[in-house]
Amino acid sequence: MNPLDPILVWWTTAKDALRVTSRVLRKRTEGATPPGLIKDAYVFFDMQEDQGLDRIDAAKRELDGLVVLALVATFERSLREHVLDTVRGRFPPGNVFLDSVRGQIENDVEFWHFSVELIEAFASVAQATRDGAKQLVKFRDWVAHARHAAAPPDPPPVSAEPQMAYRRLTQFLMEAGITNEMEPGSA
Amino acid sequence: MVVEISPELEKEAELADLAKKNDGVLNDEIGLTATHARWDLKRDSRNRQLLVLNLRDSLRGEAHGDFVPVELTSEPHLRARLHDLKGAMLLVSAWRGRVDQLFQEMRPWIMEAIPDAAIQDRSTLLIERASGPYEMPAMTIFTQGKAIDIEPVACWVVGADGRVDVRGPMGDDAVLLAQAEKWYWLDQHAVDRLQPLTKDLFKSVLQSLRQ
Repeated sequence: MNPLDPILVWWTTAKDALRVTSRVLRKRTEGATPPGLIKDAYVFFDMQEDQGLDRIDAAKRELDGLVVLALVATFERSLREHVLDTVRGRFPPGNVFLDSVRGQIENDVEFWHFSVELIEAFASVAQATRDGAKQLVKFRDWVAHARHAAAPPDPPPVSAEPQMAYRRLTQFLMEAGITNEMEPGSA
Repeated sequence: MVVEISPELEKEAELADLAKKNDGVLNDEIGLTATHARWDLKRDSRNRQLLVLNLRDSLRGEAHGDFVPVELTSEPHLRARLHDLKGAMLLVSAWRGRVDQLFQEMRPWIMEAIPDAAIQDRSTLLIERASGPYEMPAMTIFTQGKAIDIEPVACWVVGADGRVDVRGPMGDDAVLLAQAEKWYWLDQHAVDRLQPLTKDLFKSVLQSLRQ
């Protein structure tokens, strides 16, 4: 199973929910929605169409950034787990010395630098694939820490589109032997 | 290459001298590529003085880099920054060429898909980390009181050599990505389903965006 798939599912759902809401706002302007469809508890109740659509556009942009952040975070965890599983397989429990060595390695792996050490540990993965993953780590860092920190906000180091991010990271996981699946229907 | 110092920077003699002292390095790294370089002065959000280097070439490439004054005191560091800035300028130039070509190709497709369309040419400001801010051509298609915007979004894109968005009144975005000198449409309903952009595909995208 590709550990990135569930993220893609919630992102697609959330994105479509925003699309549907955009359509409802437009139809309300045309008077084509039943009364009470947008209840007074909803943020859109008092909003003009333009204002509501602007808010949805802003939410979409945030969502696209957050989905890449979620993809990269899950990708990182998958790599660490894969390294840990490999180590556990090589050092089966039962020997006091080997148990101790395994414990030390397990602790160390959690502190490996994501881009410099963890990604590079997968030396069998093509360099271009590793570089692509590192670009996404930079984008993740920007989403998580930098984008609203400066005034005016810092531009991203590189632009990342969620579907392309999914593709890049899945490619890495496939080359590393962690998954052999791409979402059904993908190219 | 013409190297200019802005009047604002000239007023700060120490900083202006720092820029002038590096004329040789600047010419060495960029001289043959850029046609025009201009040093300017600005303040950052914490009110610190920054030197801004604006580069332009004859092929409409441009790049703008902010430098903390101390960066101009280390030649190896300055050379590395200038090298990156030159690369950014060349990429912006190539990116402009690709977008120009795309727009040129799209015009007859638009008129075929929407015969009553009025196309307004305009520009849009892109701000990218590698190049700084630069303007790119953009288009708005007006049809029956509705507008469809076609705008470049970024040159530096993971997995592509540039991205152009198409936004219509129904709010469904179409993303066009450049890869290896060709344009692709990113199907929003399938992961990484990149379809080569053709006239028929673009016409159907336009139809779905306006309805």
